Amino acid sequence: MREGYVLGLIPETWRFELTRFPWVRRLLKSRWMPLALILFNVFLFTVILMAGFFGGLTSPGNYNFGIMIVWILWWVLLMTVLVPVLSRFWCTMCPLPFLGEWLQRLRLFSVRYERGRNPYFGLNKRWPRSLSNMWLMNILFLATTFASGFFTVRPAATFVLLAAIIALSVVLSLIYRARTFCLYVCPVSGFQGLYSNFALTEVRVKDPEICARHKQKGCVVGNERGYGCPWLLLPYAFRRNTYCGMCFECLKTCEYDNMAVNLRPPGVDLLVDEKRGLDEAYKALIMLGIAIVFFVTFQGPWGTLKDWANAATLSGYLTFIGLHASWNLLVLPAIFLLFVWGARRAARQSVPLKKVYVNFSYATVPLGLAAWIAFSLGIILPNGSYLLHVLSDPFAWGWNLFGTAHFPWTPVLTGLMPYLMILTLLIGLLFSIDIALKIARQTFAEPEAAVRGAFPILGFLGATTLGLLWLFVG
Amino acid sequence: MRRTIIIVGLIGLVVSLFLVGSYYALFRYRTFPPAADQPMETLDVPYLERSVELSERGAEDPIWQRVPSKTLPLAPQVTAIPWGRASVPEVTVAAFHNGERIFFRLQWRDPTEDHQLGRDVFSDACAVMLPLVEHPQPNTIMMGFLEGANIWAWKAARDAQVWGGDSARVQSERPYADYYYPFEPREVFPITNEPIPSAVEDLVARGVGTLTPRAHQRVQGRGFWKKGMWTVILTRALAADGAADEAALPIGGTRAVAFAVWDGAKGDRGARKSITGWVRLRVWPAEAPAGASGR
Repeated sequence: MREGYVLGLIPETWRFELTRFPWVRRLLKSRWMPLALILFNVFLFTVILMAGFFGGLTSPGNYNFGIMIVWILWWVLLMTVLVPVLSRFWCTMCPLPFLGEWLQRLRLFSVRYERGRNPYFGLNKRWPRSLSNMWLMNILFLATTFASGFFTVRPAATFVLLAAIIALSVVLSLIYRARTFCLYVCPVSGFQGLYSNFALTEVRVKDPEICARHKQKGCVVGNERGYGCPWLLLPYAFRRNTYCGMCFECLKTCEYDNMAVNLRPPGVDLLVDEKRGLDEAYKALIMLGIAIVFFVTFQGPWGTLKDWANAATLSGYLTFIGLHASWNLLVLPAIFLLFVWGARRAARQSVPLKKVYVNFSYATVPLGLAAWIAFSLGIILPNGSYLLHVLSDPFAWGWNLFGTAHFPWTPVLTGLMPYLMILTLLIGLLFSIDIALKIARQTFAEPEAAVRGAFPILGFLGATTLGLLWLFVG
Repeated sequence: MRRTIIIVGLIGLVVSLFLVGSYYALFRYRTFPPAADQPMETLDVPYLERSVELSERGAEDPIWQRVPSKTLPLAPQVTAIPWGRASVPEVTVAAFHNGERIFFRLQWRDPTEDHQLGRDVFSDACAVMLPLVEHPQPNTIMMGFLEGANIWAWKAARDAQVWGGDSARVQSERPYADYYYPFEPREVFPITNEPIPSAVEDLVARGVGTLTPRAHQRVQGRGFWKKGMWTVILTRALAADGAADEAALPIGGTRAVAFAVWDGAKGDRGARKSITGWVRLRVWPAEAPAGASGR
């Protein structure tokens, strides 16, 4: 594998600046962007919340606007297009923190800028340092999946989840600074951040020299054209997508138009050895583990497991939670630890085990993302046709707004589904192998040690892929 | 101080709104309007004062020309693994009743007749699914369909055993060595070879992985393969036996029904099958409803 090339084909440093086109830059610098997208999604999610509220506990998921749009359309778009291609573009237009941010700024469109800063309404406290990582998001996302058996069949469950996220975002926005909720609490934010390191787009500085000479740093503190980075980052020092919410405020505030949105090869941020940590390692493994649990539970042939997840009995539900949590927090990380231990032993290098564990965890990201895409195919292709129904009759009140309320259930390309899943997983494996080999070079100084050390990790990736293939296509 | 009071008040308001909203959403039970959940296709089941025998002659009886049939598209089953592989594109279904019994005829193209079981050898088959409730939920989306269903499952291999079609070949290879005891015929009290009363299994399921035979097997059937086409007749008394696990078929009523087909030569077995969506099954009374056709 050629050094410095993704899959030995594309230079890792290759970039294509999308903001070189004047209309793209104008669009991103406009204050309507992303406000217009957010307002559209505010409307959409208002309908979703209403559908969840009125749907109660018993309406079937197929015919509920909230369930269909959130868990069939949004989730699938998020996993198949938004995150792998557009990084955290969902965060750009996410309506969930809209109310909180509006309260903080007390402005919807214009910028508040007084006495050299952007004043915010609220207590503006700092988030505790001990929680300034992904651990809380890991736990909250995992806890959310405990109720996954309800979300697709009980509209009220989707309502409660979304309403809880909105309420929490408002409360935290009134207490803590800027997008603290999005950064450290939102359950959806964590995996988007980690998986965005694989994405094809990024927001980066064009010329670091310009930023080095520029003292005002409007991208951090804000100015009359925009707010200082709401994600509390230093845009001039971005090296990874993890925490960049792609709000484009830095494009607006930069006086030198020195911020750019670039196309780039996939996965390059996974190689950036900066601020890596056990929290992100666990996030990678939890996402892989949850993809497996979801597939086994929702699409597997084991009815007992479905009953457990659907809380047919309290003891069954508690068993599901226990097994699900143990698998994701203990078993899978322990299995990975065994392979990492093998890698360190094979490399015969005195690198701390924790560093080897954390570094190699990033190699599981492409495979984990591929597993989620494959799982998503199994959701959208059989069930996507219900979207036409709910668009015409969002509250199941017998409406037929667009004449599609009686469109019959029509599975699409389900005969091809296993082949698409195999292809997706193999592409994910290919990228994971590529990343693993490069991380081995970063982790173990000697080239020969790196090759030896990579083998156990390749074994883990291969075994995981075989397991997923067995699960997906039998 | 005033600002803090406002912030605390806002937080209290948001939390209260969330709690009240969640309470109403969770405990405001609401049933689904049946009108939006009706199947699109209707299979009319006319009343005819006739019966058909379970024979090749019965399968080709001219009476079937008088019965309205429906050709239904089949899709691979993809709700639970192992998934189907779109082995059979469509099935043609017709049905009638004579006031006492209901007769279904299923026909589908299949270039090979597969009525053997063996290692990696699977039987052709078809099934009729009748929900146990009058208005079933839609039949897909992860874990959505959790209601009971009565399933009439015909298998070519079973048919050959019951009706004696090429029984020598059927016996030639046994698929499940663990379950087959070769000296069974010599045993005084045979237990591994239960007598098979019908080519059709009368089954009940309440969710994935719960398929089980009913205590009372009341469905009969027989299939014939000719020139690349399976024709299978299934019949049951219209009156239900009163058990909760048997689907009712009230005369003059409308129920949902779905069909499934397996092509053994293409590896179909178990969940690996081709299925239709729900079809509306309209069982006519003795007097045909206005506008009905097919008599």
